[in-house]
Order: sequence, then structure tokens, then C-alpha cells
Amino acid sequence: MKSTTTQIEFDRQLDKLKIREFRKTGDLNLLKSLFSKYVHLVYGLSLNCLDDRSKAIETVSLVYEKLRETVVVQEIENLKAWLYVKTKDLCFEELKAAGNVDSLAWKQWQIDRTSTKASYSGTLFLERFQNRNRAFMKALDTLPITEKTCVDWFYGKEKPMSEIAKLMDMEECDVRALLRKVQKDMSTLYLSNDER
Amino acid sequence: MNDKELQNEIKILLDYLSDNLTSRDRYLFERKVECDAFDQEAIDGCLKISPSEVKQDLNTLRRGASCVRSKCFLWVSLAIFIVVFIVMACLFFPKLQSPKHVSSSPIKSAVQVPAPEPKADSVLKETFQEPVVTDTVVSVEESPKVEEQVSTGVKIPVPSPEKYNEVINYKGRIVDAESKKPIQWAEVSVHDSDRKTITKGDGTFSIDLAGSTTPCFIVKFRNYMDTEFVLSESNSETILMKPKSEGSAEPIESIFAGKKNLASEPQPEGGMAKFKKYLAANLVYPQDVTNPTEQTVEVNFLVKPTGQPINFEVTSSPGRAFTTETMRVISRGPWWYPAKIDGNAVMGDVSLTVVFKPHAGK
Repeated sequence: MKSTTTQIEFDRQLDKLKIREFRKTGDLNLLKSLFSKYVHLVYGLSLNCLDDRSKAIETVSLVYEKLRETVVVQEIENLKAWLYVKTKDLCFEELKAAGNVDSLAWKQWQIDRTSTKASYSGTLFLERFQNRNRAFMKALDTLPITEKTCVDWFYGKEKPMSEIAKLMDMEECDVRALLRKVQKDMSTLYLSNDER
Repeated sequence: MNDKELQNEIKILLDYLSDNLTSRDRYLFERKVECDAFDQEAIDGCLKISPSEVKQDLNTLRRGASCVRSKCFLWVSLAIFIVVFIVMACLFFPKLQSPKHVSSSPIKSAVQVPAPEPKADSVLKETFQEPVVTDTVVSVEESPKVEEQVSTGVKIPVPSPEKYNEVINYKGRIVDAESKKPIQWAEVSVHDSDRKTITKGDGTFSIDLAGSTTPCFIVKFRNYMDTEFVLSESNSETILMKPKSEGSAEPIESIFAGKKNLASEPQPEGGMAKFKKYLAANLVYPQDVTNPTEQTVEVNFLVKPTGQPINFEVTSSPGRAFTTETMRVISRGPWWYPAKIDGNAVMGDVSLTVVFKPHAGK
């Protein structure tokens, strides 16, 4: 089912058009409305990295300033991805300045920030599951029983994580972590040939 | 997304955090979040604090623009008032001291100075923090200079100070000097800068530069000599690139040999060495070939910014079976890291030479 990918691509093209319009007209309201679309994500991500509400709010302002500076001199192909990378970079700079950075997380980010696969793994996982891709389903069968059950309940029977947590006698955050782990592990099995 | 849709999305987020959604809505929200790393980490962050705190902060961020604007307006008004007061004082104080200028009527509004309109764009811009009164141009050169390039003798034009604050679009087209065919994916970079772009299928390119940047460019492409050129603002020029060796072009260098700049070209996940091992382990020599010998298949393909390889083109192959097998193995291979320019993933091309050895593979 291509609807998720299509929607993502549609949003990306729409953002690109708005950026182009801003670069032609210089209308800051356009840029502000564009940024408002993602401000809750930037805020949430900053809060996740910094664990401080006031610093998260400051980071949102910094990201907006960076966006204003950057969009004048170059076109941004994928605004959402750009905001994600820029926000995380600023958060890590803040943590480094405060001497609180986790070196493992920093190293992992240096790898992930160049890998577009990491940001698309969730969409592709959902699509593969919904299309019942043979090799993909075969690989799912090889997962440990806990992970397989989580995946079946969430993607197959469409149960929310809170219900899955109750059914499996787990915490909701553990269910979330398990699903993301499966997504990451399965990402190496994506078959690009099937998409053509 | 208009304001109403945005408000709705924020409402759904807050309802999710407050556990006010139905089971089905909760599932749909979670499924959407799990599709994107950005959404995932944002939700993780929002779950660390209470929903009311999230709501408060999001409202602060939304209101922040208007609060800053009104604060800014107050400061500017105060500054203007002080300036006007000083000007009036300078004008009238000497007159008051001189006896000839004493008049019966009080000097209250002899000179009416209309309050100047605050500048719309440069000061009252809506920002999410304290306003910084700077223009949006990235840099301004303080001492423009004219210099000659040693390599080509091209004089670099001096940027006009009037255009320092503008963004100027430069366009051009890169073609082969002999055949006049457009050259796609040639790298066009700005002299003394990290700014780069690549040409499209018709050889054209477009690049926006700050008005203070000198419009001197260098174009590079494999098997062609690096070419320097200067563009003017108004015209789109055609630039001719000469091949490195007159007549026959050099063979395309396989990416298995030599070192390349990893930051700018597509690379397979795990590196080229691992990709070679993958090919060696998975390529199956076609069975219906009499007198099997070592064969090579040359294949070009594009790598999308998402890392997906597409548009396979086999330029040299001993037979259809070899072609099919090559494409089967590459398309099922590891993901590719896309090419990058200025930190942004772009479409890149890859040229591979795949070697088939008899009695190899599964």
C-alpha cells in the first residue's frame, strides 16, 4: 500500500513549493506557517534530547533562525528531514557545551544523520507488512515470539500499544521499544526491486 | 496544512498524551508516529512531561512570536522617541538661549516631526526569540576586491555594494565542447566557497548566491577538464567542457579501484569492500554457458536521495543471463548511502564493473 509513501512525498513537495514561494516573495508569514507545521515535532525532539523545557523552547527558536538563514541562500529538498537533522545537531551542541553528551549516542547520531534509511524504515516496514511481501513475512516468522506477537498485534490486528501492553503484561514503553527494534532489525531485508 | 488542520493535529497530540482518544484513534496516531523517526523521538520527548506542560509550552511557542513583536515595537518606539527628543532639543535649545528668538507664544509644536513608520521587514519580523536586527544575507564582504585567476586569467567581477543584501540567481548550461550534448550531473561549485550544485538532464543548472558573492564557478565532471567560468546575473550562458584526452574518452573508472570522496558519492551500506564480498558470495554464474570463462558486466545506475538504486543501465554485458543476474544481485543488495552536496542528499550515479567467475556463487 503506497498511501503512506505518497502522503510523505506529497507533503515534501508541498513544503518545497512553499519554500520556493518564500524565496521569491520574501513573505515571512509563509515561512512562519511552514515552520508552525513542525514546531511541535522540533519541540518534542529537543525535549527528548535535552530533558529541559526552557532549553527545548530556546532550541525551537534557534532552529527557526537557522531555517531563516538557510532558506534564503539554498533550496531545502526535504524540510522535515532538514529540521530533524538540524534540531538534533543543535541539541548535541548544547549538550556538548554543557558537558552532558553521551558519547555513544553522539557516535550513533553521526552515523544515522547521513543515513536516510533510518528515517524511512518505519514507512517501509508498514508498507511491506501491508503488501504481505513474501520474503518480509518469512523473515518476520524468524523473530523471537515476543517481538513477533507485538508486530502481529500492532500491524496485523491494529491494536494500540496500551492494549498490547495489557495483553502481554508489559509496559507501554517496552512495547514501543520492541516495535522499533524490530523495525531497525528488519530494515536490512528491504527489497528495493519490489518497488519498481 | 492550513491553520485549522494544524490546530487539529496539535489537539490530537494533546489528546493522545492525555489518553483522551478512542482505541482506534490511538492506534492510528501511533501507527503514523512509528512511520517516522522524527515523530517517534518527538513523542518520546512529549511523553517525558505532563500533557498540560506540553500544552503550555506549545502555546508559549505560538504566542512567542506576537509577544516578541509587541516587545520589539515598544523598544523601537522608545528609541524613536528619544531620537526625536534629542533632535528637537538640538534645534530649539540654542534658540531659547538667544534673546532675539524669544517669542510670546510657547514653543510647543513649532516643528512637527511625524513619528516615522517603523520598518516593516527588518525590525518587526516575527521571530520566536528576541529580535536580531540583521538582514537575512549570510555574509557581507567588507572590502570588495578585483583579482585575476592565475589558472585562466579570468577577471572576477566586483560585487556591487547595492546588491549585497540581495539573493541573485545564476543560470547556465554545461555541454560537451565537441558534440554539444548536455552533460548531466556535472558538479558546479562556487569559487572559494563550499556551495555546489549539479546539472540536470538537459545540462542546465541554477544556483542562488548572496549578492556579495563573486559569480565565479568551476565545473567538474569525470573524463572532462575542470572548467572555470564567470556568469552574469541576467543571462544564462552555455559552458563548453573539453574531454581530458582528445578523441577517445578514457574508460570509466570502476568504483572498486581507487579512492573516492566518500562524503559526496553514493556508497553501499557497510562500504565497498563489504559490497564486493556480497557480490562475490551471491553472484551465480549462468548455467547454460558453454566453456565458462571470467566475464564482466558494466552497469550504471542512479541512487535516489532515499538510498534506493534505480534506472539500471547495462553498458557492457556478455549476455542476457549475465545482465539479469547482475541486476538481481545488486537490487537485492544492501542499501546505499546517497550522494551529498552541502549536507543534503541528492541523486547520484554509480558505475560498477561486476566480475563473474566460473564455479563461483551459490
